[in-house]
Amino acid sequence: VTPESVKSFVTYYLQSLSERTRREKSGTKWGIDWVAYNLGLAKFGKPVRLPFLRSGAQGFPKSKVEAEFGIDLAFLSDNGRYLVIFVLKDEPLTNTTWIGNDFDRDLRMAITPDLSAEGLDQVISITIILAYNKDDQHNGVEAYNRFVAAAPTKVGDTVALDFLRWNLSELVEQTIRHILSPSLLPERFFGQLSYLSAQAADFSHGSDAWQFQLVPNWKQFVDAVLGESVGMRGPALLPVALIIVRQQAGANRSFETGWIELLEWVAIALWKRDAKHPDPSAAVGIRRFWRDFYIAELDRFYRTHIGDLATEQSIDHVALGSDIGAVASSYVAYWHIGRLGLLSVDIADRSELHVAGEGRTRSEQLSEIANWTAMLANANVAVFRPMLDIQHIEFFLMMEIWRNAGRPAAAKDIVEALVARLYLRRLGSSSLPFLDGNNSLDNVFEQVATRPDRPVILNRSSFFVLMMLELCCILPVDARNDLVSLIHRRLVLGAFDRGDAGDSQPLDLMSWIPPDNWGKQVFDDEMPKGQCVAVKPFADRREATATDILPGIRKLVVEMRKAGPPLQLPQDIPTAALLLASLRHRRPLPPELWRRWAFPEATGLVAD
Amino acid sequence: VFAKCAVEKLASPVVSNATTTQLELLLLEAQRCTVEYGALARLHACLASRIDDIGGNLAELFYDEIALQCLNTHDYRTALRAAFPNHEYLVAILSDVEERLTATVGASGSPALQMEVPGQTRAQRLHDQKLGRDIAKSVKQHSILLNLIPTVHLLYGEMEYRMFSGDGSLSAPSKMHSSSSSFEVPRLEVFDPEGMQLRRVAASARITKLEVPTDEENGQ
Repeated sequence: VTPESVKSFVTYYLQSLSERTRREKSGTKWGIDWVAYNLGLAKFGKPVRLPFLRSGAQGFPKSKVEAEFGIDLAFLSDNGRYLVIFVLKDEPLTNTTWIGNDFDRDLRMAITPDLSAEGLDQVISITIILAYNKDDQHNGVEAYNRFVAAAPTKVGDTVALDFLRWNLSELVEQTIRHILSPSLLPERFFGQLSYLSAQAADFSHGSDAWQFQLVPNWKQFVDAVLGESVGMRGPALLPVALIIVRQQAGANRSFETGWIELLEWVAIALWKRDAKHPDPSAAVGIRRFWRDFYIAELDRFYRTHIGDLATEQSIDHVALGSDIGAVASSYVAYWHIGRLGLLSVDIADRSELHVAGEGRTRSEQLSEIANWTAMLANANVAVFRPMLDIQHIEFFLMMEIWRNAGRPAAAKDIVEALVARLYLRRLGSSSLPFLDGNNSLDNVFEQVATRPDRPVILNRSSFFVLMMLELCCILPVDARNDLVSLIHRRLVLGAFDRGDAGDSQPLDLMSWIPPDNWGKQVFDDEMPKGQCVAVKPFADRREATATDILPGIRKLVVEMRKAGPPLQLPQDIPTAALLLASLRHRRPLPPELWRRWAFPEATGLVAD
Repeated sequence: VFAKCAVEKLASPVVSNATTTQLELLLLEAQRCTVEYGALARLHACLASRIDDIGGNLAELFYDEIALQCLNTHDYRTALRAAFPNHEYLVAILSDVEERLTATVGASGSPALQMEVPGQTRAQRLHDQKLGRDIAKSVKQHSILLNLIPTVHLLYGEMEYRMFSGDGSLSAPSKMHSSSSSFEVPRLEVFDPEGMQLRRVAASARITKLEVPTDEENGQ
């Protein structure tokens, strides 16, 4: 995360806070008082006046119902000689609010503190800090300056009195410098975030501990934040929590990818909330998180690491040792292909105008991502080794990268290379099994590690292969025809190219009709399953050409369009967010995502 | 045969008189079979000068194969360097491969590649257990010694044991001896099992084509 980004999201968070933390029927309003309290502890000493009782029954401060006399918080230095008083406001400082929102009144009361109270007899200096978490106007600042100029310089005869004004920028600076830690969050989340930060620092990304402890805890934390907050506060708090976790876990070398995973769970939770409970004030924060945090971080990640990822065999190197490693390197390669694809899809989704503001045109950015992907694929053969049927998502995303960059030749080359390698696995001539339809990496590992007599994987049914056939229809006719017949012969029928055709049984091709409102339900942990469509091979003979096969594919598309509800992508949710949810929840993609390009509705069928 | 008989190199006259097709067949045959990598390097080294003379596609095939095998095993690189230390192009290939390997190792330490793959540790454990069982079974099947003498599995103690025999005497302590052997796993067979298999398939197809002339060639 860049320093600018940290500053921007801390600003956004502080701006979202109320003056006081309090529970309301609609949810909890988190206050700037908790931030000031922690800043006071970090900088000024022990508190002598707080506006709340710490750690109420529900784990967040409970408001005091007593007169403040203008003083929200006060801190006394350890030697008892310096008293710092906070006057907090959650309104902008303007000429109107100066009176209307009691800036003037509160400051006037604050400059006359009761120094006869216990423990204040040694005080020699008082500093009044006016802190507000909104912007200001010149007139408001002028009113404040005049007030300070006219205010006494002493309290009583001996105690010096001076003033500080912390506007939003200063508050942000102080926060980043002194309390960018779990204590910045509302008290209720302090313990949870401290624990999560410690886990993130200790656990290796992808380890059992990460998967079964940290990720569920993190999701619980995110849900708790969103469940308790109203409006923009939840979307504003979560980036700050992420920044804090990253700061605490930075020394963990595997955290670089782990951090992306944590971001993804937050993104999914935010879009889920947006899909279920649309709220315009929260929506701004959610979009901001998506573009300026998640997508920006993906971009930063690949800009930083593409040199390593594109180094010859850098990902393949994960495979040191045995076929177990070959499966592992495939997992890592597909992890990166998926993220590059999301980046491409998101940029392609934006208007040219929006992208132009970033200094490069959209096509330049899409081309850059395609270059990164090509470099990664040229350097690592693991890209051509999907192990699970559900990895059709990453493969689709890779094809989207080429399509978005206008590079059909690259798409064709990738499909050809993939078919050549999958062919050996389809025939059983490789030490690695064909795609597992159960989508269980554990089972694939077990199959490769123990080679049991009865396979523990399911490799007779494939959604992936049918998707490949359909995706080829996006390509120019020549490339499409060659690939369609090749895929059908080698992968669907599993027949030898020449001589004896072999005794492989044809694959059962699978398609899928997603449930209604897929675009909203995809963010749920549990989603209605939709309907599976089992498809017989489009031809029986291995000599079948595209002319024999394509009519069957077209007919399937037409019939499925009649049978299922039309796919309606939500207008206000980026396609990449829907794909991310599918990727994370390991749910199949609606075939219409590629059929809309391969078989446009207007003509119904792809042209010959 | 070249590997099994530990042939150092083919006789120069044989190599000098070999035709392009014979040399290509030899290269492809070595590519198709799994030859011990030191022997493969010696074979390649003794063909280098002749193939340099011929040039063209054969030289391209030859040097591509050398570059690939250099990436594959340390044994191959060591044997090649020893067999033909003064061949300028081979030395350049070796040096280039060393650089590439260093870059790979460096890049593989990238924070972007430090994630653990869920289930990999357990699978590796299962794999190692099965490998251990398979090796033990194979040793038992093929070792005459183990089949002749009884085997006692000691449970405790470290590297010393005594025997209490039927006559009631306790033997003096005996030391256990360990023996182990290691072998280099060819990198590319693990990194790219399908790709290596495809090369073998392609080599077989090419061999068939070279050995069985087409009708057109017969006609000529």
